[in-house]
Amino acid sequence: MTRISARYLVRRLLVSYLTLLVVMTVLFLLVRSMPGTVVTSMVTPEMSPQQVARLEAEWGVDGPTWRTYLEFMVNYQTFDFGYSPTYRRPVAEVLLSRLPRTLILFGAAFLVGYVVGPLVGIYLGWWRGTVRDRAVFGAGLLAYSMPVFWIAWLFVWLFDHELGWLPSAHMLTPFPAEAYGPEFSWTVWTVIADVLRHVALPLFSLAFVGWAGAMLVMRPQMNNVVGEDYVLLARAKGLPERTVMLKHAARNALIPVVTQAVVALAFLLDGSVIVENVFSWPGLGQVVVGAVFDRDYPVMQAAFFLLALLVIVLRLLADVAYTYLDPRISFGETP
Amino acid sequence: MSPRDDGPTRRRFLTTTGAAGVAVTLAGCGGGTTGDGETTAGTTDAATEADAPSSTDETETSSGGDSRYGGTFTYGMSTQPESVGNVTQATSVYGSLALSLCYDYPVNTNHADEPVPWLYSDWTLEGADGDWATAYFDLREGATFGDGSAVTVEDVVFTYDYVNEHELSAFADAVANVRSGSIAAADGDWDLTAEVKPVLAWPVNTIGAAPILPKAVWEGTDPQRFDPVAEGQAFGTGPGEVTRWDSATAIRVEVVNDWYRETLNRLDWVEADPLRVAGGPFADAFNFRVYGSESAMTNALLDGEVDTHFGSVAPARRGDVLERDGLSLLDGYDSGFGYFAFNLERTPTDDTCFRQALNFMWDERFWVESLNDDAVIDGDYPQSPGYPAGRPETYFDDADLLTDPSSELYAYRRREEGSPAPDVEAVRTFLERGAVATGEGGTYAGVDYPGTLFDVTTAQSEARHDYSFGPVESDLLAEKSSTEVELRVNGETIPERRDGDPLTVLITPPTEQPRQANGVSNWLSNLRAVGVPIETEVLSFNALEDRVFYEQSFDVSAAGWGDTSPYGGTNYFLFHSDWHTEGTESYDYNFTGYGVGDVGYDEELAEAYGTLDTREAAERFAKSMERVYLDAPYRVYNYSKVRWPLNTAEWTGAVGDIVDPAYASWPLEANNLHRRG
Amino acid sequence: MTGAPDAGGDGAGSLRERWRPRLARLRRGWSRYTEHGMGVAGLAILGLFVCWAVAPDLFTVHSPEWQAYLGTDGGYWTPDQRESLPHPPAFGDPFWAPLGTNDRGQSVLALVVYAAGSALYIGLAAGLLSSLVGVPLGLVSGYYGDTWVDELIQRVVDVLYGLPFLPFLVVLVAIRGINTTNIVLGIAVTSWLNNCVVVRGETLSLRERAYVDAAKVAGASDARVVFRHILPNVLPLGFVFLAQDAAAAILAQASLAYLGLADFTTNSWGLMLGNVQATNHVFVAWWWLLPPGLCITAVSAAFYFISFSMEDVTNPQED
Repeated sequence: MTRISARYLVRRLLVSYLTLLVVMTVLFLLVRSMPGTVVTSMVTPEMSPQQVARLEAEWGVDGPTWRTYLEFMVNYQTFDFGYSPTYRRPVAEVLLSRLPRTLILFGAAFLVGYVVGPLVGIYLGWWRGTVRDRAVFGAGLLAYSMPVFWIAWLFVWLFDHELGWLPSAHMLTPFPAEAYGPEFSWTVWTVIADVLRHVALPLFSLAFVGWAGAMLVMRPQMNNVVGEDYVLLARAKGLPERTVMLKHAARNALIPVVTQAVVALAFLLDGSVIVENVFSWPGLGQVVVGAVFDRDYPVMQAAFFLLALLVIVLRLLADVAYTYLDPRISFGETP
Repeated sequence: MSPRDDGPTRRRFLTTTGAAGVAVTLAGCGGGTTGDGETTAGTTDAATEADAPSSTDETETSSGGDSRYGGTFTYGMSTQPESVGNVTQATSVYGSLALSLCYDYPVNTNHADEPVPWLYSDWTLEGADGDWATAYFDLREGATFGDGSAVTVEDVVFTYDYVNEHELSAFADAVANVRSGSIAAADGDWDLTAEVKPVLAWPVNTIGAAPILPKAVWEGTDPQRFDPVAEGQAFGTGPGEVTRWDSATAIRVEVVNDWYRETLNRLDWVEADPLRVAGGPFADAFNFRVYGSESAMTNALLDGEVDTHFGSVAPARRGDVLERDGLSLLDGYDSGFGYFAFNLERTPTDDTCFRQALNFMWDERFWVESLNDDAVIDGDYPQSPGYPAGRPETYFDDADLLTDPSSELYAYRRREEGSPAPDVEAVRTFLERGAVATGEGGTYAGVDYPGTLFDVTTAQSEARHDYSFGPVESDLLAEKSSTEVELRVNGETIPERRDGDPLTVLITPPTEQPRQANGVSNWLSNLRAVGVPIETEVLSFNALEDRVFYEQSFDVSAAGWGDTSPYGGTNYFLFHSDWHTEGTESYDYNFTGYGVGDVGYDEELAEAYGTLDTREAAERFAKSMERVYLDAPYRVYNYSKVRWPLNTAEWTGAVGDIVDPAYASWPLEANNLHRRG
Repeated sequence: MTGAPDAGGDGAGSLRERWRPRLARLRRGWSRYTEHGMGVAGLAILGLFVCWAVAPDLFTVHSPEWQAYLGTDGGYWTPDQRESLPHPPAFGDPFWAPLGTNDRGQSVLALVVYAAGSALYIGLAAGLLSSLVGVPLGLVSGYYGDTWVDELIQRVVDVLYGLPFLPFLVVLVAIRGINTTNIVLGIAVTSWLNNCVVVRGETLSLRERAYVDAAKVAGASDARVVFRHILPNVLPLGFVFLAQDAAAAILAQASLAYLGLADFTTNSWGLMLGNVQATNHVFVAWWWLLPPGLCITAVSAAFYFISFSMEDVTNPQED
């Protein structure tokens, strides 16, 4: 406990805040460097210059750059993301309405990945060098090397197209009355059942590729602690192999995996961009890519900002947790 | 491409408001109307359709009986519509599919695309020779909104005031063509009066250019923020009401307006119209499902999840669809065309002679047959054959649509019959001689041309630059071509004139338009064989839009227009210098700069657009087609053939052989579709 | 990236002397590496792809220019011929295309073989670039650990970590234009971070070693200490990451292709998948869908296999 001084914490917080400011500035410049402004696509040839000017004022792109920049910095820090030109709704509302859907799919995939991955990693790390280790490790790497949309296509082909077991589009049956008969109604249970049916294929595709990520971190960690004194001691005491592996060794090897998992949470969006599209999943990833292509800069900017914020906060937490948990680290080293 | 579409046959000509901007249909590939159609309202033009299209589907339209009513029709789309069901802000064609069933325009058009009474029962125009004229019109008695309340004169006045006050670009015609605040209740014989611009098909483009909104719902709202679906008030004078709007997955429109079904859609002209089934819409509801990709959407069609979907069935899946019992493909026409645009403000694309030489090297047979499996038609005039009124052949008895020799000036110059090898020598000689193909009969680059139908000739009769060929100097030609000579323009190679850069053709990513990319590659390799250093530059759609429509910073650009005017009126916007501005701030319809310099057709285009009689206007525009064809600011290379899928096991009544049944004619199809037996 | 370490005034003899133990270590490393079946398999796969890239014509009868029924002369298909495309695998009747053809009549085998070069180019160029940025910055950052230099570099890393990888890549490519160079640059810009962080960690611990202190005491300049004493120890790690970055870059290019952002003038496996999708052949032409995906998987896996086998040899974790 004493290893984390108040001074260190304050400094770390301050640095994180400054990082956020810089990220925001980068974002601002990025959007500025993209072709056109929010208004560009709203201007029609029939519009008079006054109309265009009014539009620009309305969307806050009329002032000098420094003022736009200041407004942006202030608004964003108060979580005022403005209004989306394509969605015609406040940006925050657009993102918030999509976030839960992404969390359902990617939260589930994350959980599966970080349960299966480390378990396999523990096992492989413990038995490192054996045939089983090599076979499973190789298989994991192979899965990790597949383009996720490609393997997803194959699953859709097999499970939906050929076998007809699972639906491959949407999160909920869009028109249940047509699918299940007019007396059908949404209850907690039917919703859960329907979501589970729809989430199965995308989840399977994601997990199929994703579990190896956590395994890759866990395996060497486990391997490192195999030779540690306390493990040898536990073994010497005659404890069953399984107990030593899980209770003594794995517990310590987990630390970096946990901290890494925290950071990985923030990168969920990356995969969602592609997988949501394959499965017509109405989530955040589709919104973000759509925003880039449709020139919906407010949505794009806000999505980037929220992710950056998430990464920074989670990394801060991971750092602090790491420093606290691992006696070998004496200052806030980036994991 | 184009915007909302109210009346079944009314076409609006592209525009830009909204998210995805331009109406560019990215025409060219498989997708029937448009690849990525987004856009909004713009200037309209009403239309006539020359010959009444035939009904392909066995239309037992007269099979009267109530059994036709009922059922839910499901429509699939592979792009999300805008997220709020607000007709004043709608920017994509996808949202319009649902909204057009609820918000109906007050003037309709019949099978011949002539304005006909609808919510307005009669109209007249006085003083049509000035800049502004006075319109008088009547509101039909007994008209009701979707909630059953009466449509009043007040609602009409409110709608126009609202549209004008907020300058709603979704209804740009109403803003531009009706004097602000001039619409009012009239004394005497007429219900209403307004000051309007006397333009082509005026009732459609002025007093009929905005759907009538219920004042009780919209009064005091901010159009940008209002969400009528959330308020449970998403209805207009159309048959439906939006009852659910989840843009990411599903939209539902329920048919609520009995007056529309029982009275309005049974007017005498509707009963007599060969394209319509009176008394619709027959379905109880229309469901729209949104998919993440085209292949997911096709799968849904094959699985019976949807009864039809947006656009055409991809050639790759046509076999699957036709094999499936109960699914059929309905033929339709492109609502626009695919083209390459040349920048007339750059050298050497400012020279008609040079543009014509480029045009000679496009292998239309390779495009139509090898790349597109005959799913497209070789292009010529900037007017879809689906709207023949605006095409020159229509006005000459012995001229066949699309194949008349007068439209074959730019036939591919091949070395020998049946071979795809380019006749590079002929094109080099054409350039060196510098004699423009003026439109008179003669032999140009080795091929005979009989002359234009209307006897129009090019603005420019001799090459503007001096062309010669010398040793290859540019890296591009040395690397990518086996040509032994390179073009010199006024003694310099093209890269020498342009800091080392060759000419470029802008295209959008081939994953959206794979055939277009292949076609362009083939074209450019022919041109390089001639000795022209030219290559492609791939840009995302937005970046391309900026470079072309705003900055005019391009040499050649590939794009398409959709939902164009049936009478050819689109040409006025694309080729009149009024629609071209200097500077990069504004979006230009006329981005090629045609008519800005000494090559143009301004006077005639403006005159045609100001012609009130639609037939007469169409003929004038047809003539302008030939001139534009010769002057070649565009090289029109493609009209898509629409193959619209339909579950004909359960639904019947759809009409084929009309323009774009999936979108432009969707409201008509929605009214006609009814359950089989 | 490495160059020969600056030997200063030392003679050639001492140079050889100094490198001798390293060479021995390399030899030992190689024999340890070959113990890993996986690493050898990786090298073998990579070797095959390198052969494809160097001499594609040895592995396929046809070139990408070849078209079903027409050969390489060009021409037009009859309607029946067009109808039969994309053609499933054919062995001599009506033509030879063991993996079938795509909708343009090109041999899928030829496309797959000829695309090996661009995959290796994208992987290695992006991997090298991110190593070239990441390793030196990591070295500097680690060597000057806890000073403002370190702080600055780490904050830059933090900032870039804050940008979501794929959407950011999409933005970069969308702004700069869709060609292979921009795609490689975009991937490199976003992928050097891991290198930097890990190399920094390694440098931090090496810095505390006794021989480094000794060199410092002996008056060696910072540059000399970094290049002579630290870099050689960090390099293996650099290669481990180079291989991983190469795999990640190839996968990233495929993702971009899925989103429609592939360079169509360069034949690549990602582009092939993009075309399958764009022409709606995903569930129609398995012979066109499977090979490019398998190749991407194989080449990425090869890089990962090599990387993790190398990691075992160098075992940076054992510190």
